[in-house]
Amino acid sequence: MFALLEVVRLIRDAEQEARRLLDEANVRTEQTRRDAEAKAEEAYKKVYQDAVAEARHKFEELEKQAKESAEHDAQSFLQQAEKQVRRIRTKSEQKLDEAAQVVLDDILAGLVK
Amino acid sequence: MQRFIDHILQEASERAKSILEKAQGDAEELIENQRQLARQKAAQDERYLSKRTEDAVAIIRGRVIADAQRRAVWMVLSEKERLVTCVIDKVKSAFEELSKTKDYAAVLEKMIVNGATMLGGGDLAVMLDEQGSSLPPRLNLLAEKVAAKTGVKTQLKLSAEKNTAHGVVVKTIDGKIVVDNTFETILKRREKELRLKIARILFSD
Repeated sequence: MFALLEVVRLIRDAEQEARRLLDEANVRTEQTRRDAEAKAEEAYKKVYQDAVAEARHKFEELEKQAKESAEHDAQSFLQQAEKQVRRIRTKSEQKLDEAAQVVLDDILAGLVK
Repeated sequence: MQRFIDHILQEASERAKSILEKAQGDAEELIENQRQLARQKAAQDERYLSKRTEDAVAIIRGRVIADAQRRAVWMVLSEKERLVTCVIDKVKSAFEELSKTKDYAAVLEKMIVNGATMLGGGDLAVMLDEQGSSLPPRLNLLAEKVAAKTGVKTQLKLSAEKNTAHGVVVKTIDGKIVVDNTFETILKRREKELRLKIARILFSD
């Protein structure tokens, strides 16, 4: 009788230990889940912020390059205009006296009409 | 008996281990899923940023190029304007020189006939400049020319007043109608047309 009771006690203890192991596993599972949720939130923020920061940097560089390229082209326009101005000046300066004479003659001729 | 108890404990231990492993796997999956979501959201935002950058680049380029084109056009036009004005100044100087010669009398006479004809003849007063006063024009002869052109009997009288500008001013005796034929005014009257003529001479190939 005593031996039977001892067997039952041993089985009950074992089952209690098994229950404790499972309960502990469940508690740790819950903790792991909470930790994972916090880590997932941080991971989301970090991945998103890093990716967006990288993209922003890339686009800022693109914008800077585009501006530099446009300013380079603008300089080219202005240099061409300066060349054109020099060409016009060189060509026209030889004709200034001729033009002045034509205009004066024109005005005087216009008086007779 | 001991084996039975060991079995209970081993099974519990294995289940506990399995529960923990699953929890760990789920945690890793959750974190990886969030990373994936973050990457998708970032990619979506990157597309928006890309479009915004593309638009900004187009605006910057358009503005810089348009500004340069405007400045380039302005540079060329202002040089042309300067050269045309230079010719106008030369014309004024040439007329100034002409006013010092004996040929000036003939020019004044033309200005008088022109002005008097525009007024339609009649009794008119003629104002001359300083140089003109020393070359008194043949007013009677000029009056006949005006009469011939207008068909109206004409009399021209020299005014005591003098012009400060070169050329003549012809007006009716009552002073109500005036034709300003000073050189400066003629130039102003015809400036648009003359500038065009000068531009054609200077800038045509």
